[in-house]
Amino acid sequence: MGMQEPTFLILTALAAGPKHGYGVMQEVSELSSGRVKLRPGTLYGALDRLTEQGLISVGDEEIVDGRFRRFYELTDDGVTALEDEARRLSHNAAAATARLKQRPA
Amino acid sequence: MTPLERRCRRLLLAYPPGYRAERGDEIVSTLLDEARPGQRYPTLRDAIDLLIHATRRRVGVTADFDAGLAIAAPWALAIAAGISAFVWWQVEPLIPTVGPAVYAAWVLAAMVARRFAVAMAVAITAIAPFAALSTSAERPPLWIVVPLIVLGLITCGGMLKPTAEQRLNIVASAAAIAVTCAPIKPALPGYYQPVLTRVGIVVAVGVLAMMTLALRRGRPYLYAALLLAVPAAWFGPIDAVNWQIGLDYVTAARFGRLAHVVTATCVVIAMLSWLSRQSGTASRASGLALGGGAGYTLFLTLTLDGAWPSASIATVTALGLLGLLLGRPSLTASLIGAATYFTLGVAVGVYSNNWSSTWPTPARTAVLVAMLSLLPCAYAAFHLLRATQLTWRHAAAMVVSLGWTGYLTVPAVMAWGPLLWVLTAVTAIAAIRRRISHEPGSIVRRIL
Repeated sequence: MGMQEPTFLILTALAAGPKHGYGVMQEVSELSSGRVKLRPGTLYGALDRLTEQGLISVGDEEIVDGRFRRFYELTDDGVTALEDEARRLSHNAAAATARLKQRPA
Repeated sequence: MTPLERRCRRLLLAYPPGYRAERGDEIVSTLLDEARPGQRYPTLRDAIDLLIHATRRRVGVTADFDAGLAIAAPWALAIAAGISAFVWWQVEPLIPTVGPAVYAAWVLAAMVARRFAVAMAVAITAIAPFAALSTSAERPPLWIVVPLIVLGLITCGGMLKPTAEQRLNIVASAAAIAVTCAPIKPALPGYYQPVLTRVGIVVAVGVLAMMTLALRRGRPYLYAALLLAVPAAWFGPIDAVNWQIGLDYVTAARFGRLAHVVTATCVVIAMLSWLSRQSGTASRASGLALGGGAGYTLFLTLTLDGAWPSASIATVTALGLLGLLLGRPSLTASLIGAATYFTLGVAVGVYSNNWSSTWPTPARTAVLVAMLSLLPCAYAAFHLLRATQLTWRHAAAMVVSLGWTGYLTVPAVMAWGPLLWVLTAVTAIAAIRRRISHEPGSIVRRIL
């Protein structure tokens, strides 16, 4: 079974490098063209679950302008899981496009 | 600290303290990051989202629970509609109430199989007892109202958009349940409740089947089974009148409908909490026991003129002893324990005296309310069974909590409803197979 879309988007947001919570929120919104808007409760619930599953880990912490930030990054397992899911999705998308081309005009 | 930050921090109080210490600063920073300039309050949608996730965290809701809710949802709807159809068809002609309005809503909800239709049926069910007050008709008894509401909430919580085939399955299962109930009902239904107990066999068998599936298909099915067991607990004991042992109500608190609902509900909640790796604390257990004892004492003082019945004295003694053995009580738990015991006691008193505040036999009511002591005892027993270390005082507390629970429930074993039998059997099998305790430090594991 495939990943849920918010999970997939969170992992994708972390693919290029570590990000803090608000960074993940912005990136997910951008990746989905504003369709998926994560709210803080949901975001941190998802980050907790992904950490428990070993797909992401907690990296650096910093305080900027009195605001506490914790950075999250993909683990090796997380990279593999995201690669598998991306392969599955692109395979399905390619299959759909190919079949649509076979359709008589 | 800006007003916005102060309000965000107040909102975070919904999270458990340990989690707040770990994640609080980070979540507040994120809330501030996403705020528009000049914003003074967190947005309503963010606030609702935080409260939902904080509650999930406090209760220990996991992804398996969500999966279980989704599995249970269509079954909950089928059971609610099936039982409604059966009661409408077989019981209403003998015992007329305003029920048909409620039952029609459930049958309709099963055919539509959409969240709004189920929410509508829940609302109608909740309003019906009050609506009956303004008409000459009887209200449908709580033994059907409460299970229907809980089944509806399970459906609303877990149901996604069903396919045409799933909708057909729901209607077909509801019809099968309605037909199956007919031959197992008592020959002469004198009152709603004995019929519902027999009907409970159908639901209890469903719970058992779901638990059997859990052995192969994993935890979500166990959650689904336990969720369906919550409303099933309300179908009550077998024949609460005729099995009675030869004790009068003043010397012994007698097992009946209240005790059955409380016991079965506690067992189900304990199993759910066990799955979510909750374990409670000794200070809370102590607070609930001492507070409960105090709440009951207040109840007795206000409702009784003369001497206390011996069963009440024994109950207060058992709760006090339990609290003292568990050590220093938590103040919050003590206050919650006292307030809950007193409020529930009054509610039980009013209910069992035909919704009246004048009680002809207060001693009888006082002894009935003693059954609520099963609540703090269940919490204490659950915590102690989950604990990894056991001092002699805690061992003694385990004897008191399990002993008192056993004293109140085991002599009436013949009156247990079908669900209690299923839960007991499953617990026994699980304990023997050691499936219930894979945590290496658990006491249950060391004993077995």
